[in-house]
Amino acid sequence: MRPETAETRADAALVERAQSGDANAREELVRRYMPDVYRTTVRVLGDTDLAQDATQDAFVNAMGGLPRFRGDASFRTWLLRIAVNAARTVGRRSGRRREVSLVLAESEASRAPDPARHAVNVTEVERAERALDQLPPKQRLAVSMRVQQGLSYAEIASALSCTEGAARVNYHLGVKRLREMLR
Amino acid sequence: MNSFDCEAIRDLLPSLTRGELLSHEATLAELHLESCAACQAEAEIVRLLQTTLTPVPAGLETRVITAVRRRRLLGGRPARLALAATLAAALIGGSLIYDRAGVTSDLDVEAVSWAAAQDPLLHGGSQLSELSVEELEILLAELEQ
Repeated sequence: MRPETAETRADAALVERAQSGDANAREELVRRYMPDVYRTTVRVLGDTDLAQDATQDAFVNAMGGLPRFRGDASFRTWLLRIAVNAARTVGRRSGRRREVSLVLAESEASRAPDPARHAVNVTEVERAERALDQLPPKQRLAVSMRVQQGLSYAEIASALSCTEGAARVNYHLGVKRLREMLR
Repeated sequence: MNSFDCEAIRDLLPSLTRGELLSHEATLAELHLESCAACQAEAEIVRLLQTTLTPVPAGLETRVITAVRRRRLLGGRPARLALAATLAAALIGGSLIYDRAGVTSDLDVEAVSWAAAQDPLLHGGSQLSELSVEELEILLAELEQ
């Protein structure tokens, strides 16, 4: 569990105000966690339009569920777990699976007229992003949450509803695969 | 540096590249990276991934805040709306019954089958960086059983 910081104390105060009906506090929580929630839903869905729908659902569900938030986990990990579930629900509802999007993206890439030239245009950052997108879902989320969002293994475990050990193995497995893909 | 150092350093890499380590921890980590090509390669991947932060689309914040406000104004009770809709339909159409699609909870949590306190990985019993992809997959499958 992340040690208490000025940030987590500010969160706790905001959550308390939001739970007591303060609309400004609710909206401040939305602003503060918008990047985390959106990036998580993008990682789950691989589609920015669907991710926006999932982000909206996640915040509406979270704000509706605030009275039930007891503070057992941090607000951030509680919210990210809701975001992961909202993204999965949107994915099922849309009937579009991430794997399909990736297959389409790869087939579009394979139709590039000049593969050599195409490769030159792909920057290192784009390669890393694409490689990350090709990881299995739990590895992709574990790497993204650890590296890009700075979550601890305990927080990742809480957000993904798995054990801390599984979160750690998923992270290491994901990074090992990335090293192989980006070699 | 031995394999335990690699394991520890790799766990610290995200914090190192985000500048969140204490100065003496960062110095030790940097010293290790200078002499370890494998950890250097992993640090490079971590740095690359930290530069790929997906930007939040313009307008999404406003859209979400509007949705949260709307939900608040409606009382956040879809079941109440469903009841109202059913009653209205009954008044207009007589015996017609409208079946509103159920709303499933997004807060369902999968059962956790492994007690974290009993997990040897959490106590440094295994060196994950030494395991192959196949071995890690087997370990993960065991953890997720």
